[in-house]
Amino acid sequence: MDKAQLIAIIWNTIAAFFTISVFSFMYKDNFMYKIAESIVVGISAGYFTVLLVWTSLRPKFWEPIVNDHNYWYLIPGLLGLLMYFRFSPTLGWLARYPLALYIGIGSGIAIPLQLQTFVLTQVKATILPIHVMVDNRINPEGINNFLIVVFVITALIYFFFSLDHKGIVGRSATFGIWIIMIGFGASFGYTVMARVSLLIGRIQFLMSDWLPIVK
Amino acid sequence: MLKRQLPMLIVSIVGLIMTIQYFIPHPFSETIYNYALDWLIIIGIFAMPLGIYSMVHIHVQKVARKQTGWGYSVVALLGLFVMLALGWTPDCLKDGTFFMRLFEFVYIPIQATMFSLLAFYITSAAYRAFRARNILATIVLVSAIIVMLGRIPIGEAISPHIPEVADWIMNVPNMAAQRSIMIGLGLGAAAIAMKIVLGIERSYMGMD
Amino acid sequence: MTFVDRLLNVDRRIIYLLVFVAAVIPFLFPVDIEIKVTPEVRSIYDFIENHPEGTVMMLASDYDPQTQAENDPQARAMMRHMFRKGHKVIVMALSQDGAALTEMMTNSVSKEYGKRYGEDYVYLGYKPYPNIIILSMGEDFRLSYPKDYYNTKLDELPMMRNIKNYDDLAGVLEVGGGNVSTMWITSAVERYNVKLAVAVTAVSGPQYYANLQAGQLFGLMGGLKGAAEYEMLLKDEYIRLKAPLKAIQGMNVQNFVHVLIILLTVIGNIAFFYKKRIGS
Repeated sequence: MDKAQLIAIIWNTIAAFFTISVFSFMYKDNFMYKIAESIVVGISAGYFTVLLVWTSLRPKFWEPIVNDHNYWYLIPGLLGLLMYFRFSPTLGWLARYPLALYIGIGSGIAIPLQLQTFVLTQVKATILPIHVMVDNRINPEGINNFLIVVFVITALIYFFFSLDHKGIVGRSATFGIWIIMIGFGASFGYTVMARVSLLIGRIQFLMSDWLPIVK
Repeated sequence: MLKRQLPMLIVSIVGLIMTIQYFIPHPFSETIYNYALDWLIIIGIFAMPLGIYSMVHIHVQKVARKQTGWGYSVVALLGLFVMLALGWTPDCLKDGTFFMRLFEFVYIPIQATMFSLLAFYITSAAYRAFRARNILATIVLVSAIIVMLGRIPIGEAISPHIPEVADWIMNVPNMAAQRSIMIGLGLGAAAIAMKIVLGIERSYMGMD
Repeated sequence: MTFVDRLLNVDRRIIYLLVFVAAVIPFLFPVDIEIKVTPEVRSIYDFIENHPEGTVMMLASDYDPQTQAENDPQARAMMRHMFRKGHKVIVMALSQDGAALTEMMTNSVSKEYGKRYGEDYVYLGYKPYPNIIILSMGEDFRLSYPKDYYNTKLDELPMMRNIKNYDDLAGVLEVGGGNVSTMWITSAVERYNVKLAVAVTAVSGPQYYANLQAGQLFGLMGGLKGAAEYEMLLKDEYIRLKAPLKAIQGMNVQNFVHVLIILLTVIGNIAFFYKKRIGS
């Protein structure tokens, strides 16, 4: 066994130890789980600080000022620092300036893009050709298009509260909520799949990555 | 004025400029847009450590006051300072360094395993609470079972129609349901953004 | 306490144990399975396959350790396919923890193909506030990334010299575990007409069917199942590389655990209705 293999075994065993420590929570809350939980908080904050300094602050702020003499960058830098005044009881209002700029620009950009992405494009995509019969044959695509139009409209009626849900509106809304429930069922099925996948990832690590090299 | 009105005025002016800019692709408006994005990135870089500051503050106080579980706060702070000490040079971010190994073999396994516990909880929840109590719950249940079966190889082995029905559910009723939710959310998000730009919504600034 | 009562109030740890056993069995007795490829995954494959060698594409790898089990096989499959076809790849990460994961993934896949950094691929790294970064790259990559992850100026990287913004890319393949994928649609597709496909976690998969049908996406890969479909399409390549077919192996486990969950749900319902009937 060479040095590289030994190092790989040691690190993978550390990873396996923490994996099992977290799994132990399934039996009951314990000391090892809490330790693992605290380590995650510390490492995460430390890693992020280091990442932010070397890959964002240095190339995007420090070097343009120091190397390229782009002193304009001092203004957003100063605005960014003003954010920290939010912890001050007397000067907390200073933090409102960078926030104002951030929220203002963010909201201004968001208005047309949100409407375009989630409303206009979606409505346009619902206006579909409904050719249920083509050459005297049933066209499945046409039927699906017809169903999509009906399903979207009825589901939207369910969310429309400016009219009483009575009569035809009420029946459409009821049908609409059934469609939404089918969607929720599909989402639940996919959520199960996702959660199981995360477990598979850890079992794969223990069974395929760690055990074979330890054996 | 400096404390309340001016920040609100800034929100409205830059918000309106940015909205109008979308519809006028002129070099001048493009320049303003570029500057806005450039500056926003820098403000963001400075704002990000706010969360870290809060985290350190909470744990330091917990240790100083010797509150219950202060020992765990020591571990958290130790983790932070070890990473900061190891991260003093930019090369620490390259694959294979001790800094990255701590991330890869300590942080990733813990974080990934914590989330994998959800597989156990969701199974337990399905067993205890996923009941066909009424028509709506029954629809959710049936749809979920078809999709769960349709997305695994055994579903196709039982009947090739199961994946077909699952595909249809995803592409037709699920798509329609998601779209209706999306349209509602889109209208809501745009409305909130408009209220912010027009100065009607002010709670994000800590004002009523 | 009757049998039904005992069934309904079974210790949760027994259920956990059943899940654990169902997840481990397939590793002890692996079986060869076939996975049907859906059109939404096939279209990502076709997109990469049908572009000529040397096309520049972007892999936006925006996932965290939490969703690594689903997203990592997706990212690796697409990356392998792009390298096999001889495309040039710009890799980036908009998730803070994803920066390290993406670097590891990029290093290992590029080594398999002997690709050269700066000529065949570049890694831009991480920047905070994904929406702003996505928008800024539509103007100029240098706005948000004056330098790459290794602090080299973009213009010093041969591959990046003639690349300004999204107009110079064939498309973007986004691998995400959160709402960053939606930001790509809002800010890159709608504002800059970027051709986008997303590989997302199964949790968020269903919501993107509306974007897919609306033509905002040209492809969609949902969860481990989507990754397994892609691995099926590249199976010979994986065998040639001796790379583990992790997603396909994972689908074997999904088989067992899904059946267990369905059975438990059915048993829970039968017991519930039986008790209700006896009670009334």
